[in-house]
Amino acid sequence: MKAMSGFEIFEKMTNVNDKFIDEAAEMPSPELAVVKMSRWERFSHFMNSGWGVAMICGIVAIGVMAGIIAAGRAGEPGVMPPGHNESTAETGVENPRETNDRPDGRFTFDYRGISERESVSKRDINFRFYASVTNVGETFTFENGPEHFYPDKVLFIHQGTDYVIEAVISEDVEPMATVPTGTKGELTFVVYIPQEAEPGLYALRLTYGDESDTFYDVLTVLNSEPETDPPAKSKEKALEIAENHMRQQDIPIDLDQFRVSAVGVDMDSGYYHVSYVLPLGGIATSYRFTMKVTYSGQIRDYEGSTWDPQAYYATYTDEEVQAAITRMGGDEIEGCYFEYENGKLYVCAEEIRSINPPNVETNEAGDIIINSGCGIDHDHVFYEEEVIRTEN
Amino acid sequence: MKDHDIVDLYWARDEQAIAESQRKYGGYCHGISMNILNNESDAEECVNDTWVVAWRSMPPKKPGVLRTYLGKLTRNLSINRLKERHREKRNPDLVIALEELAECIPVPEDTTDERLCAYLNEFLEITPALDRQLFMGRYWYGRTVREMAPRYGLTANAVSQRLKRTRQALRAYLEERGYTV
Repeated sequence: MKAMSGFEIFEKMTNVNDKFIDEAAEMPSPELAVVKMSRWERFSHFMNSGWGVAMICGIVAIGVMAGIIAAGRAGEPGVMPPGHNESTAETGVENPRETNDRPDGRFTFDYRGISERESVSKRDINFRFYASVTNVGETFTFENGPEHFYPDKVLFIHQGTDYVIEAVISEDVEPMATVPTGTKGELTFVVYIPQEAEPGLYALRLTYGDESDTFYDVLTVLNSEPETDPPAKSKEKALEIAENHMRQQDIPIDLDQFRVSAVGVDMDSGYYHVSYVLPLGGIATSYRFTMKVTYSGQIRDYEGSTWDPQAYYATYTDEEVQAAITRMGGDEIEGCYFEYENGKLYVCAEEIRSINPPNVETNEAGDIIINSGCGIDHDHVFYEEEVIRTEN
Repeated sequence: MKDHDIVDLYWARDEQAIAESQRKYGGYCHGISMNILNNESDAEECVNDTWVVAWRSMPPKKPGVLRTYLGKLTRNLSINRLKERHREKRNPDLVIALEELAECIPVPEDTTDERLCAYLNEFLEITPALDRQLFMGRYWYGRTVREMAPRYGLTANAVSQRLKRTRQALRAYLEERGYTV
């Protein structure tokens, strides 16, 4: 029997379910895209791998135990840190809008989330969000793509202490059911971190419905004082500073050709990193400027400041890049990224070979302490292959 | 203006409905048409025709999601326009997408639209969201791999691989249900 042609199928696909059409109607903002894997993205990439899923399952299993213990202790008088009022001690929940002694500015959330994750549990937790840097006591905003992301419960668990902080889901957020699938939405969770909270890693646990799906992720609470030159206060400010800086560079082309490809917050320092990309025709031909932006307008860790027109105008075809990827290991390698060094372009990839289990200890009080931070110890193999031009 | 207000304008036979549709969804529809036709003037004509068809169809139609309704109209009009062209003039990116589709969907020629869509809906329902969006982006909206990659924070190779795996999964899904050619 004859099969339908691709064109016929394409035509008949017009009437697939509206929700799928709507969901894909708008692609994510390019500002949220990441052109090169940072350490965090490599971690994210790892977490998306089979090893990552195995790791998550392990962490969730251990973490649920610790969560139960910690949650149990949260209700005990005297367990919560000093400065917590009674209502907080009773419930573990405090609405910062009702708090007068808000430790504004002392701590900074630095959380970028995981750019993509698939089917780590029964529920399809596939989301893409980035949180803006905010001060404790202010809103903690998840942006972009909340369609599968409306937890019933949000907990922040400080690793190694007894803090269990339940986030309050803001009342002015519309119920998820009223947000059309695929629209760019925004959820706001109002969270509160006690003033005495220690800087360090916190686990973020999101619970979904009665299936008890629990998900752990990690965020860093940084002590922001004393700060001589703190991070730019907002993404917009970081962009403004970065753009001014770019315009001061002696670059012999029209700066307007550049586009901002990524604005992200560095996991370790809390500073904004802004990347500019100059597309030169092919996927391998873009060049990137990345800079770390501070509040006073200083630019740190500026990459790409030495302009070498000859090198940067080198063009590569997709076939040349694909040939390098094939030499490196074929199509099975995912998550390749580019490195430009000494006038040569390389495709690179990293493969996780083995991981060491998270460090689990029991303290004197008998609490289980899990170190499931993003610095998961693992052995990896690094691949690198030069992209060779086939024509002059 | 909200979608239901625009639909109300259509129903009230108020020509402002077309202006509002153009303002709100002109770019969206134009993108769909351009991806299929790869021709500016043809795409513009298709988008203009979309408003005409919308005007004629509302009432009696009262779409729940105006965006997808208009998008479907544009897509159909663009496909019809594409049929009028000689094969060699087709958008080369789209031709590749069509070949990929034919390769992964072993559906007999006599399968009805409804049945094919039912299979696709079932399959898309169980497909992870990111892969689903890439699949729809490629095969419904006609976007290129290179266009989607930076927007989803992936490399072009990663997008291609994900699409390939989704196509393979779709083929297996259909074959499990007895559809082979």
